[in-house]
Amino acid sequence: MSPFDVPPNEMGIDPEIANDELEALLAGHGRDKNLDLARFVDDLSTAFPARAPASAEHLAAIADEAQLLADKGDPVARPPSNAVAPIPRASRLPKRWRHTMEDRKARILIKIAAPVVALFAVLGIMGSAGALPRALQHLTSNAAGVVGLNLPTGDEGNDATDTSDQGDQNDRGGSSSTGTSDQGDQNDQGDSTSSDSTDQGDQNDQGDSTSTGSSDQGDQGFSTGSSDPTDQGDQNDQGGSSSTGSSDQADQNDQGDSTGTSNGGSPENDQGGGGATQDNQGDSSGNSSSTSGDGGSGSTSGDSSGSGDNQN
Amino acid sequence: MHEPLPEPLREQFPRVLAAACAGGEWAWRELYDAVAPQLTRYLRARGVPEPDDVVGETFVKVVRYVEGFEGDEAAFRTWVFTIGRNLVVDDLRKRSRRPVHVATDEQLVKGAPHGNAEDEAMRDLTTAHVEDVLAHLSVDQRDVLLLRILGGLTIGEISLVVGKNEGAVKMLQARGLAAIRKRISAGTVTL
Repeated sequence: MSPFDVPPNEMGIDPEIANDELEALLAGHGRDKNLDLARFVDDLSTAFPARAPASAEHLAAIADEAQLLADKGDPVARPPSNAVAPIPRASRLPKRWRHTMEDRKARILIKIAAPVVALFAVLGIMGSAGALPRALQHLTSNAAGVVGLNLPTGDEGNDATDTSDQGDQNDRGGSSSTGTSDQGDQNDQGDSTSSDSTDQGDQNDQGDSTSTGSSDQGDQGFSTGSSDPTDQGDQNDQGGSSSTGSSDQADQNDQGDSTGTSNGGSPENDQGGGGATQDNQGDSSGNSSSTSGDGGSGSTSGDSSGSGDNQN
Repeated sequence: MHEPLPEPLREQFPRVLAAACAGGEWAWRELYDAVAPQLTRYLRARGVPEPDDVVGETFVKVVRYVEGFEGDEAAFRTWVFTIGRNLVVDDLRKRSRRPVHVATDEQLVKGAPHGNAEDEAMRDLTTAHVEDVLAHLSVDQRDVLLLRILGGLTIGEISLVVGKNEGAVKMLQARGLAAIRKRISAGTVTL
């Protein structure tokens, strides 16, 4: 090593001078000054001439690659080599298949919104047809009401809580009827619990088990017509077990009432009326609050204010 | 005499490059003819077994990534040489893991019959002399000098290709030239 820590083989080497000499040789100048070096450069060019490679094959491959890019925008897959380092090697779709972020967001929103819209459409259609379950029908009807649409609430199909049920015919099997002013039901069969407050004109009812009509008129065949305050005009009652009409009027052809506790009725031809003291046919225990007037406007059969019973 | 380099495209280069980006086959032919011969001789001098294949692979990559290229003709030539050199480096790494002896084109040409025996003998001597001198250079020195003499690149362009600064490239060039002079003056090789 030299005193200046320069390797001996680099002493006397000036890179700028060497560069200038080589540039001059490559430009065809200064051959006389560097004859050996000039001859080496010539030999190097002779040994490796600048001949074109298999250009036909290469150009065909280049044309194919260029055509592929023109068709798809980019190659489908990139080579795993790192020969071109700055360019990412991950494969990408062709440019025409790429989408911006806005397109992707819109697609995601559509994917989310489409099922929701479809669900609302189905609910709306089924709700308008009243085909939904009761709770869901209520919910749908309320939701539609907010926007001004009138959909059935789901209560129309049941006999419960009829406020003004009139003229039903041939009802069968209603389970629980709580009509306040049920009028004119005919041929009801199998009602188990009827609490008509002003039930009027029911005909040919059969098999009602518990009737609590406040002004029952014309019920036939109630099994437990009790607490009817103004029961009027029952006709052809058969098999009523306990009638507690407060103002039973014009019951006709009652048969087999076991515990009739009618107040003020007019039991004419009363058969089996619980409170009748006359014309008792099969009544087991009649409790009459007024025993006068039996037969006309009488209340001898327990109907305190009954009028017009002429067949009991 | 030093072989002249292909005629550069100069002011026509931007138009040719734009046409090549649009897929013009004629434009690719122009670019290929302007760069491929120099790249091929550089690869052959480096001892690449299949230089033509490397050149073809290099231009396929150029076609793929040309849309992202920006620059003049010199920058384009530097870019092409960078791709080709990186391919050679990758190939050498693969071969170092799984060594496979492949006869180079030069070796095959030496064994094949030719028309003029005297010319063949002179060319063989020249090639042997050059290879012997190059063998006494380091890999980096040989790379820089081959790029400079056969590739026709400037110091700045070589620095981009090999990934070194210009001072280091100049020093490698100067050391390489000094080693060549020393080898020739020693008289071990008869020119």
